[in-house]
Amino acid sequence: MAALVPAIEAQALSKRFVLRHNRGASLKVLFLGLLDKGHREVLEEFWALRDVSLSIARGDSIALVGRNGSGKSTFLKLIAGIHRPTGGRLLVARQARVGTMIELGVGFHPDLNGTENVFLNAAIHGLSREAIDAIYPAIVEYSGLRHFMDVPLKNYSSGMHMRLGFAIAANMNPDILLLDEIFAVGDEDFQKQCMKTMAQFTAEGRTLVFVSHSAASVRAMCRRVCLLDHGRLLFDGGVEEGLAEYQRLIAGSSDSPAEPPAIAPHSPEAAAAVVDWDARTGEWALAFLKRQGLQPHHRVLEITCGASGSEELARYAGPSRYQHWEINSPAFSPLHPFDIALASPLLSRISLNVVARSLATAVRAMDPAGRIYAAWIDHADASDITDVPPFAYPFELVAGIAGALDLGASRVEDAAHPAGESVLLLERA
Amino acid sequence: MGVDTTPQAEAEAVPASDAPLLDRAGERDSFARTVAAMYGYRELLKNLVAKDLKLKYRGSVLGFLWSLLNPLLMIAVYTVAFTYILRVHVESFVFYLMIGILAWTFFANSLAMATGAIIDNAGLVKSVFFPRAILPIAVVLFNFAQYLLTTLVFLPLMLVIYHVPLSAPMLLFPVFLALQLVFTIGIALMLSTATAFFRDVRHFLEIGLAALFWLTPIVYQFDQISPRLRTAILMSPMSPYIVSYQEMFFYGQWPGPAVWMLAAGYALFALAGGMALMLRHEEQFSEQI
Repeated sequence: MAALVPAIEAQALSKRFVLRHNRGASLKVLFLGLLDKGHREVLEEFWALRDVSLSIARGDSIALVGRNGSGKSTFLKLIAGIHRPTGGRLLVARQARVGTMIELGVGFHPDLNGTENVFLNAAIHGLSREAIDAIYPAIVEYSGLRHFMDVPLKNYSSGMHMRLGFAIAANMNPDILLLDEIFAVGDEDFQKQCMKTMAQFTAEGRTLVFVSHSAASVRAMCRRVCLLDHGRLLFDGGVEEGLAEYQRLIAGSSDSPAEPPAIAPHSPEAAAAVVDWDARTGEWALAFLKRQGLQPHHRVLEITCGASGSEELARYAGPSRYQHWEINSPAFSPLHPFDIALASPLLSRISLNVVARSLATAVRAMDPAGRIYAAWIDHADASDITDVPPFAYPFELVAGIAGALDLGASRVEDAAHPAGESVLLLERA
Repeated sequence: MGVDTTPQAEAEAVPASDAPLLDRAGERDSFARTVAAMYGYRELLKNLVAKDLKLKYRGSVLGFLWSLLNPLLMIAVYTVAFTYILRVHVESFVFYLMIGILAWTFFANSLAMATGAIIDNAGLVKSVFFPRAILPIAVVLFNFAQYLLTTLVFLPLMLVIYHVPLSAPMLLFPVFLALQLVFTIGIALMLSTATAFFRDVRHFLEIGLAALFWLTPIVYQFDQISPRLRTAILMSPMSPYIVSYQEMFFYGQWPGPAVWMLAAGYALFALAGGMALMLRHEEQFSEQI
């Protein structure tokens, strides 16, 4: 019977989120709303998953791929029981112990030392005292942090945080492991160790569901790929076909050819950069640029994550001044997929400088002459709740670091749209 | 009703709660199962309480001594205030006052912390599944541990200082302590849930606690108030617990039947209401906060 019962089975599974604009989570919003429509909370529905049917057998290792906001992380959270499905059925083996690594280091306390954090973190995942005692030596061994176990976590580097977090998750021996692309961090050795652990994990008949943007990790760890787009399951099958399908999806939605044409040199060294997470508000970004006064010598760089460029923006800037980059596309090679992964769920935990620099480096690599200046663009709200959590620090700060510090910009203008997009104008004197 | 033996009916006859697959979109688990699941997380509860206790005293020179010094300093201050400044002519008034204040402090601090139990742990709630009720319960137990330790030092000391003879009613102390704990947990569950939806709860609580403090016989004695108000004051939520402590330790009497009934009744209602509210809404937390 065990073989017949799937580990996870989704039947027409749907999940709807309600986005709350003008949100205060407070009575003030309720009261003001009664008096003035402008203050009323605006509710917007957002289907993170729509009619997804999918059966995952025991011992399966499955990669969920898709662009940001496609519903991958939502699916993980539904399996974990963190969110409740809106429609359909989601069957999970009752006896299975479900391990989640959706966000690394959550539940760590900076003032507690390594040992104390291991016990706290394992307890959060529901382990008993005996179970934790039993796996504790293995965790220490695996993390390679033996000499740091009595040091408070606030003195750990971000790499050490991740090692400890992954060491705990890897040794908890869950029957089903839900993994967001968080462990794709740390040095190469540690990554290899992670992949090896995962391969062994599925060989033992455990089930792995892995959210990833990285083709390399998917190839190394998974035997099956499910492609999600806008909450719908587009493809379910072999790894290579699935990855190819994903590439096609990205390429199809992008206006730019694989090799973007070089932009003709312009004399004054200034540029406008737009990062538009899903191009829904191209118009809004355009309005911002118009307000800022887009000069003839400015050029517009649009960076999207999984979406096509904004036609309005392209038309406005004209073909010679407009360039669109899709960060998942191979053409965007300067920014390694790991950097993207690093930039989303862990952003609040790694140094601003690292993030800002990696973007600055990417922009420089795209335009070696150094005429395009861009900076990291914040994702201001939870419109993309599934993949990109709202960041914990102000956008201006990051923009300032990337722009002024790394790219030498003298003028930084920015704006953030409540739906999550941000736009930035950088100019060098 | 006839017995249907078709395979399909057999399959349906298996109660959902025993099926090998659990439907995440299906009916919620029974109350008993939920409580059983919470019991499975007792290690987490222990760890959370230990963490808070450790962090509270780590880094301070006197460490845990502060929890004991605090009431001693309070006794000194109140003695000066009520003997030399206010000249209250009640024998051992400071003893009376301290009984109420310590119990009240446990209650008020627990609730103030409980409002943040869910929302201040947003990261955790959004990325790991565990029974959310653990969070406010841990907060209450953390405060309870401090209350207990303080009381263990303070009570014997007071009994000696104020020459209070030991009496049989004092044996009831653990019983009412447990009732107060249950009551506080119940209210904490309600407040932590409500705060996830309305952040204003914190501010309402401040005002509410200030009002409730004066509706509870802590600084005044029961026989000092007009007889018409006595019933109302006794019905105030924290009164039965504090009155029971005063009866046992200050007056050396057995708590009366009204105190018993109110203390037990409030505790039960608060716990049942708090659990019901929490279980009904806990799955919305990850989207609300």
